[in-house]
Amino acid sequence: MSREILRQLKEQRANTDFGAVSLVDRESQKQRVMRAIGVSQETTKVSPLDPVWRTVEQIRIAFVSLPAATVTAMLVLVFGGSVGMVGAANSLPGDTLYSVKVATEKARLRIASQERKVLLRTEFAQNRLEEAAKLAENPDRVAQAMAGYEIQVKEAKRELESFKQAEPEAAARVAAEFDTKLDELSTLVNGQVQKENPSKAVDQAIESTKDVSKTVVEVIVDAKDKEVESGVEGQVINDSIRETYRRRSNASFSRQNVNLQRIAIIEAWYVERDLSLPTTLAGIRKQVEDVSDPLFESAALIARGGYRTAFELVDQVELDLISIEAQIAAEEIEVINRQNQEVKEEEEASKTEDNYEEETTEGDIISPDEE
Amino acid sequence: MNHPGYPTYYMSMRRQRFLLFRVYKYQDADAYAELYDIYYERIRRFVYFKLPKPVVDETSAEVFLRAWEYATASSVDNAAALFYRIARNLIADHYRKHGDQQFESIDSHEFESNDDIEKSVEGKLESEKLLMVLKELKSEYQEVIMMRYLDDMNISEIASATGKTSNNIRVTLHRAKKALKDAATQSN
Repeated sequence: MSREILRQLKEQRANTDFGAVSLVDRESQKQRVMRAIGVSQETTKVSPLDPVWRTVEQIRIAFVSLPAATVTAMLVLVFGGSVGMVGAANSLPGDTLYSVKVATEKARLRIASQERKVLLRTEFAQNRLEEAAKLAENPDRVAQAMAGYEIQVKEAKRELESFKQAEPEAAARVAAEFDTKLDELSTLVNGQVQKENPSKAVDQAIESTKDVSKTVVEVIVDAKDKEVESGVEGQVINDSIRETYRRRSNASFSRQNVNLQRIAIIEAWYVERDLSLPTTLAGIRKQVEDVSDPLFESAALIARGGYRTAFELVDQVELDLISIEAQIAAEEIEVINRQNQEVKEEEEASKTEDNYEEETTEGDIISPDEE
Repeated sequence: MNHPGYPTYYMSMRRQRFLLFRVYKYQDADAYAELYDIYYERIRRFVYFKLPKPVVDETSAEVFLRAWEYATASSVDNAAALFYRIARNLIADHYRKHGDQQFESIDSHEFESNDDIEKSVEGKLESEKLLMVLKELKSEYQEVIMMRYLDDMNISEIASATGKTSNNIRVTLHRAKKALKDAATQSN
């Protein structure tokens, strides 16, 4: 009897009354979910205003419609011109061609769509950082490049805000993309540039980068709020929120990991020498581990729709990590000092040992076993 | 065991862990798609037996979105536990929001009292009787029967999905079969 029921039950596997789903429905559901997690967003758009393509197009038109002499003259102009541009592209603040570079950038902005402008600004900001890196030995010029960077970042912010007024949804999408670039920029500023040129200009640049990163969140979350108010909710803004949140929380998690590793290295140093661990270290480790709590909480908030608070939590974690990292650095310095001390003592010890060996002979040393 | 056009899936735990690792480390959507293929129908069925029909597809999709969020943010090593836990939470959320009325009205279909059920059972097809009997079982039994005989999961898979031990599942499954048999004989 029981077997009969189970047999019948198994036969219902494909029955929709028993929760089965048709292959077509399954596929369409899968597409929906995969789109939501951002798979199909990967396709890159080719800008219609690609300069190389425009040049080729111009030459093509020139060949079919103009007399030979004019074509030659144009070719000289086009290629001569592009050589000038290449030279200008590599120029640095203070070079003769630098003004050409800046003018080219301005021209590109003029023909760009509102959407593209924001991203172009990040490209130019990155140019400024590269210039600053190349100019490491000249503080004045570095300051000039960093000021240029700040202008670009602030302009990007302004551009994004005015775009938000016009088209919230598209702005949210651009903001998410912008956030990726911003991430790259702040890594560059924090790492490379800061190490090489610690200066007030660089500090300011870091500050304005952070400021813009806040604007990104505002743009996205405001767009979401508007969408909720209007009652028509689409996928685009949700994708932007998820993407931005994922990147930010992942960054915090990886910083947490790096910090845990740094602590582990310090601990290993003490353990190797049979020294007791400094009491502060356990506290720091606890702080680093506790970073997970607000991050998990923010993940839960994102899932529930508390976007603003979720992003605030992640921001707070970033701040906490900065102060924690300062504490870890202090511990590391302590270890390095002790290590140096150790090396010095060893050197002295080996010196006195040499003296000792000179005074004693081998026969004087009797090991306890032999007795 | 396989029904035409309706494949059943099996993937080793090792492979699942590897896919989860890829999801966590590289946000690998292709790896996630593989996990999705394995679990989608199971999770949908699980949701189907517990929630009103109109929200089943939406809730199932939500399970996989949240699982993606979670699995990309932290390392998980048991996919079944992750999906089923999120599904359970969403189901609980649903009833917290909407109360129990919906559960009653949808779950027992158009029947209002036990008398009605018994009367109408006589005229129904085998499968409909079976469905009613299954829905009358207590949810713990219903779940294991569903996972074992409809989703074709093995004991250890059910164990990791429910967070219980394999032995526990064996005992529950035994009792569930007995309850199913009793309920079926009674309705006949």
